[in-house]
Amino acid sequence: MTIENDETLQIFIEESIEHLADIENDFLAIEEAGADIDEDMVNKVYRAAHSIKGGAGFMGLDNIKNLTHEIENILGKIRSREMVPNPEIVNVLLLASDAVRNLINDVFNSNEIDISEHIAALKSIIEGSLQQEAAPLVSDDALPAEKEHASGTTDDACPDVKVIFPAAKEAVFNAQKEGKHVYLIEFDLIHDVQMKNKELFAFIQEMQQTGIILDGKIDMKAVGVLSEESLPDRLPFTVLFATIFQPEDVNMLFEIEKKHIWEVSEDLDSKAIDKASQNEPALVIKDNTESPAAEPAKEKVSDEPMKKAAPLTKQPAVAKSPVADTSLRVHVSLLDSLMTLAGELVLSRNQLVQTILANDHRLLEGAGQRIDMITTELQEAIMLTRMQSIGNVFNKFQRVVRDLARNLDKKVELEIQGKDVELDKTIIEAIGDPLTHLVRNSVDHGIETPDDRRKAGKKPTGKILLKAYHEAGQVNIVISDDGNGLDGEKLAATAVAKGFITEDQLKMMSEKEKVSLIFLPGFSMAKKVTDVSGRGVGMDVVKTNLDKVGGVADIDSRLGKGTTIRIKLPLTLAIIPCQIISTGGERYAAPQVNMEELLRISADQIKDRIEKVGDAEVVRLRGNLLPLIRLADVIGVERTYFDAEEEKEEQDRRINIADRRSRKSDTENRQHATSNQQPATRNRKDRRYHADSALNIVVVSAGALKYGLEVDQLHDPEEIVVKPLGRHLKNCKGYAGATIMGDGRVALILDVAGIAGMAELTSVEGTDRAAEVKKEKAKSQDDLLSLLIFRNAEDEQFSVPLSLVSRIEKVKKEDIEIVGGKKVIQYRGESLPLIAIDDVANVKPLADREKLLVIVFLISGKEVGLLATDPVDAMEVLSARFDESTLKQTGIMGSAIIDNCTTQMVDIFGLMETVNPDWFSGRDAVQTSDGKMPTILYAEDSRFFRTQVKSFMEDEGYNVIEAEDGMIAWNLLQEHAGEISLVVTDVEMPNLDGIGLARKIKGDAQYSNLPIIALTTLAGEEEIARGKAVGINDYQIKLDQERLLESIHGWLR
Amino acid sequence: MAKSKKTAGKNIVKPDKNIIASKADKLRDRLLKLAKQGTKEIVMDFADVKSFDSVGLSTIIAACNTAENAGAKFSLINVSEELHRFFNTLRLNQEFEIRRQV
Repeated sequence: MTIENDETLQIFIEESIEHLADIENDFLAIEEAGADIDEDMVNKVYRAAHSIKGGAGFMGLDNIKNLTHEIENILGKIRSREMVPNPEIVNVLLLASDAVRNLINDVFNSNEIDISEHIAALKSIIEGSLQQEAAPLVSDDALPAEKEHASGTTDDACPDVKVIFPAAKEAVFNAQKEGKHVYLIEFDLIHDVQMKNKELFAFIQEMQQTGIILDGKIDMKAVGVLSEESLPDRLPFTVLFATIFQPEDVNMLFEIEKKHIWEVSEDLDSKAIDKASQNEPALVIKDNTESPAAEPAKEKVSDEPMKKAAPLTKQPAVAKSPVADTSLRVHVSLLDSLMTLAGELVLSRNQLVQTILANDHRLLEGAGQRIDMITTELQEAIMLTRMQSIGNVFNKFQRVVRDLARNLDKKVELEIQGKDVELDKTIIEAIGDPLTHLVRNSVDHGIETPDDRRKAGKKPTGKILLKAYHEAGQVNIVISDDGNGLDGEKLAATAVAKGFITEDQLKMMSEKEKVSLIFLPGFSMAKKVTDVSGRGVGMDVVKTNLDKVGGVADIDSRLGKGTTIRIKLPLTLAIIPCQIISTGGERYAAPQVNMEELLRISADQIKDRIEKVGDAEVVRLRGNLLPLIRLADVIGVERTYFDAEEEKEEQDRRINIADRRSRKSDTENRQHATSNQQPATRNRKDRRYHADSALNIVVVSAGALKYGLEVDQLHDPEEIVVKPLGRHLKNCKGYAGATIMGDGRVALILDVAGIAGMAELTSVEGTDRAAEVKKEKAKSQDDLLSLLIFRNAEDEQFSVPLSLVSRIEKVKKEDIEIVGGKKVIQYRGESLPLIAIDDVANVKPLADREKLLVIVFLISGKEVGLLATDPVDAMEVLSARFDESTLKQTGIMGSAIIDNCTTQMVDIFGLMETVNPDWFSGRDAVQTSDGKMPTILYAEDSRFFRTQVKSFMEDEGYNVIEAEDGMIAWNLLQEHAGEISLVVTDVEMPNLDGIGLARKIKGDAQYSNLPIIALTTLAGEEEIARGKAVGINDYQIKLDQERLLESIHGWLR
Repeated sequence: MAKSKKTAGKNIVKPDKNIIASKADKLRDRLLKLAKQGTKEIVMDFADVKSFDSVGLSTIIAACNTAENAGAKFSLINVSEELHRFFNTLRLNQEFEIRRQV
């Protein structure tokens, strides 16, 4: 084997890998087309195989050459429609192309790898087809030895040039004078061209390109006459060929055996070249002992050196070759633009240098801006060079799915969307394995066998969708199948059996959480261990791998309907957006992909938000307890805080994060803790009231683990360039790398998973207290109301749902005008009607202050202001805490105790209706065809909301049937099937949630036309998309009476 | 497939665009039938022919041999410039008449 210099080899490897990547899918397309071949497609593969073969031949990579040659043969047959590409043939071809890939990946050992199996398989296909159409031919190898050639010469006898080409003497002489070798070559155009799947024209052309055909003769007689049984099977063509090629190379050139080539001497004597070269070892050009030329006597040049070399090199055959990963193809235009930018950068530098010398500040600014601009462009352009389309990864899945489906006797169709979505090379490489695992899982566990599918009333062919798309600066990958889905209960049961979670925890879990258990380490659901999956490593590995590149996985599954896995990936890893934080006077960068949110807990809230569970401090966040880690403690630096008064950094001596009044959950302290729950009247002189005493917490997540990282200060988010850590720091688990900040100083990038490991953090999920908090939360589900708290009179507190507020303005009392008995204020050239709560409701009058607040609402398309006074605050309050009867009156929908203060909830719609009844008269009540008012089914688990929403729907004239959860709603729907014309549902409900209810309704032919409006407290885009996918017609925000009624109106009409 | 017609004692066979292995059978049958009819002259009209492979070529040659054995004349007409050059390269112009496209 001769390995040419590295560069050429490298190009060959890259090209070959590229060709192979295409080949695979093309084979599958060919298989699909079957007998009705797409010639362009076959030609494309043929050319690809041919290029690899050519390159391999040139490089002396005989195994690769031989294998591709056989592949090419079969493709040729397919192209000429002599062979139908059935799945068996394509299978062999695919295996062979795999083998070629392996050979190329391990190119230095490729000639020592045994490929005889593949060659034999490929040959047997060729033979199979040959036997069909040309019975006498056994194989093209055996043939020349068995058949005599047309000119009547045998292997031993040299043909007489003077007899065959009597007129050639002068031409031979001239050619030899020019230093060319003249050969007499006997081809059989059928065996040496057709059977080797070469193009006759191309073959002759190749001859003309590599030399001169001095004379030629087709043996007409050998062809014979037309016969009914068969086509002629021989077409001998004897040619006198002049070329500069050495005898050793001629047989390589035409792939014809040496015994059919003779070198013609000056006096027209011919001698066989295999013997000639044996006598003249001087002719050996390459001094490589493994070169085929060194073994001239051997006809099977490829096999011989291989066997010889094998014992010499003890390299493991499976040695991985990194060759394919070290270089990248980039479009020339991109390089050009890089060059241009580099040029501009140089110019700007010159400008900068001059400006600095001239000490001109004005110009300096300009130069700075220019460099800033160029750098940004340069960064983007360089990013582009690293971008690769995700198709590189996706393409291989057609094959994966096909092979797997065949093995498992399943029918699976893979649909790929968004192949062109581009991602950073490193990420593309990193997601290959996790994606493969997910796709395989879908085929293996997701899609059922055709029989099962038929029984389940599905199409026998399962469908897997693989989709990539851009969203919000990230790439989303969706893998969804319409298979069996995951059984949350079963997963949960397994998790309990394996001790991952407790029974109690299980009770608290939502369906989605149960399904997400599959990401727990060591979790495998396969009933039997297949060779595909079920080896105990599974989704957790996927998740870990994705975490490494900052990907986030999310799973959504419905039993019997299918599974959808969504993965979010950053576009690149080289430059990442980070939150800059500092602790102990040092700055650190926390990657934003790991960040969930930033919390600032003011000193007076610490006692409510920070608790102790055992020894650990936790922060309470919307019904969840998150473990808290003090960054300074973990990385071993001293905490500091910035004293604003003295303007210097001081050492922070606080030992506990938790306030001594914080709730403690460890048993021995419980008694004590409870008695400590003192009224929260704040002493304003508390030394910790100072703003600097607030806790800054970065909520981060690493895989399944979510925790709060307490830091000294939070700074700006910044895009940072990732630099690897030096080797001497490689044992620092807490850092993922370093970066250089704008001021030239180094900041370390935090590895949130590593930090959790260093702090020996365990999830607090399993603790009793977490369950308790969860229960509290579960009671209310999503019924946390975001409220705006304000006052009317100094000592009377009110609230309105924050979602209804469009803005808050400050006004002076003297600006308020009273026109026609109504208050208005000039605002931006328009008059804004104002109302005070005491105009309508029986409450204390508005405080008499110089400065007032106006809370602006948008009702029925008109703006209206509600007068209020300070202080305002936003707060999340459980709707269950509202008492909707005691203090109810016109304009007040209920009350709750918030911060030890009775807070009344203002019914802004009620207020408006009283003051401006004409605003609401524009809408005609919708009636059913028989003149009755339509009936609305309303599902809501929170009594507060149920009462509110029901009452305003009834006020509008609708009949309302209420249900406490989705299941009850479903049953009620069936009872009152004919009456109900619309469903309004809450999303989060026990037993059956809004999504589930919608799915049930839309899935039932009887009700599928029923419009469904979902009510949420705050609708995220993702949630809306999820709802729309199951057929929810509209989303409305709870308590936005007007919009809900409008929506109901719209859907009923 | 190949069309044939009889014009002034000649039998003209007009093969399709590609004379390749998978299609050669029919051409062979066509030519064989003509040869058996005792035609005095077989003409292959190459007006439509763009390429052929080795099996196709061997069929043409076999047809020539068959014709000669039966004492009939064999020729190709309307051969494209490219194919004509090719026949010349193989020196087949020395074996039977090959007329270029006009």
